[in-house]
Amino acid sequence: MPASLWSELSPSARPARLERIRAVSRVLAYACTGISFVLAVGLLAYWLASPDEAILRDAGLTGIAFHPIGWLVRLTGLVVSALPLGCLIWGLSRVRRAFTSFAAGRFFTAANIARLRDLAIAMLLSTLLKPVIGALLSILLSWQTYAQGKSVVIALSSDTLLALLFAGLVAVTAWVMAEANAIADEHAQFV
Amino acid sequence: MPIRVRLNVMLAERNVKSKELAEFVGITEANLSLLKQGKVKGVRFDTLERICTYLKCQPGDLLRHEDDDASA
Repeated sequence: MPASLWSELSPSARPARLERIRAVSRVLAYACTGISFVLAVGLLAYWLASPDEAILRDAGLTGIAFHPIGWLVRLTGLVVSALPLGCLIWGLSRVRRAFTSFAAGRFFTAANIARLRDLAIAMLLSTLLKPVIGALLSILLSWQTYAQGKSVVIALSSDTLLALLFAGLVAVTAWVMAEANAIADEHAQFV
Repeated sequence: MPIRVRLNVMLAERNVKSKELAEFVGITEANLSLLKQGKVKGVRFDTLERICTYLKCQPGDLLRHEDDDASA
C-alpha cells in the first residue's frame, strides 16, 4: 500500500477522516437537491423558450423548418424528454438520502446500499432511454415542422457509454458495500 | 461450539463481579455477558489481555476446546 494511503487510513487519522466524510456528504446532499432543481427548470426553460432552430439542431434535424414548432409539440416534447430526466432525478433523490445518512455517521446500512443500487438503476434507465427518447423527439419534431419530411435520428455517443460504465461502477460499489456491511456485522460480534 | 468460555468459572473463583471486570476491560456489561455465554464470534487480543491482567490468569484458563463427540 502506498505510504500516503497508509497514513490516510491509519487509526489516528480516523476522526479527521470521518469528519471529512460527513462534511463532504452534507455538501453533496445539498448538491443533489440543487442539481435536480436546475435540471428540471432547465428542461422546462428549454422547451418553453428555446428557438425552433436550436431545438431542431439539438434533435439532429439539420435541415430547414417550414412550420414553427407549435405549443402542443413543445409540451409533448417536454413530457417525453422528462422521462429520462425523471429517472435521473429519482436516482439523485435516493442518493441524496444516502449522503444525508453518511453525514449523520451511518455508513454501512442496508438502506444506504439500496439507495446506491437505486442510483445505478436510475442512471442505467436514464442512459438507455436517452437514444429512444431522442428518436421519438426527432419523429415528433419532423412530423409537421420539417421541410425534408419525417425523419428518425438515433444518436449514440461516447457520453452514453461512459454513463453506462459509471452506472456499472455505482452498482458494483453498492455490492461491495453490501459485503462491507456483512463484515461490519461480523466485527460487531467481536468483543 | 467446540470452544467453551470459562469466564463465569474464573469470575466465581476469584470472586469478581462482572461489572468491575467490564469497567476495567472497557467493554459494556452486555458484551461481557455475551462473552460469558459464548455468544460472540471472537475476542480481541487486547480484550483478552485485559481480562487476563485483571483476573491474573492465562488465556487457556478462560477458553477450553471440547471435542464435538465429548460435548454431544
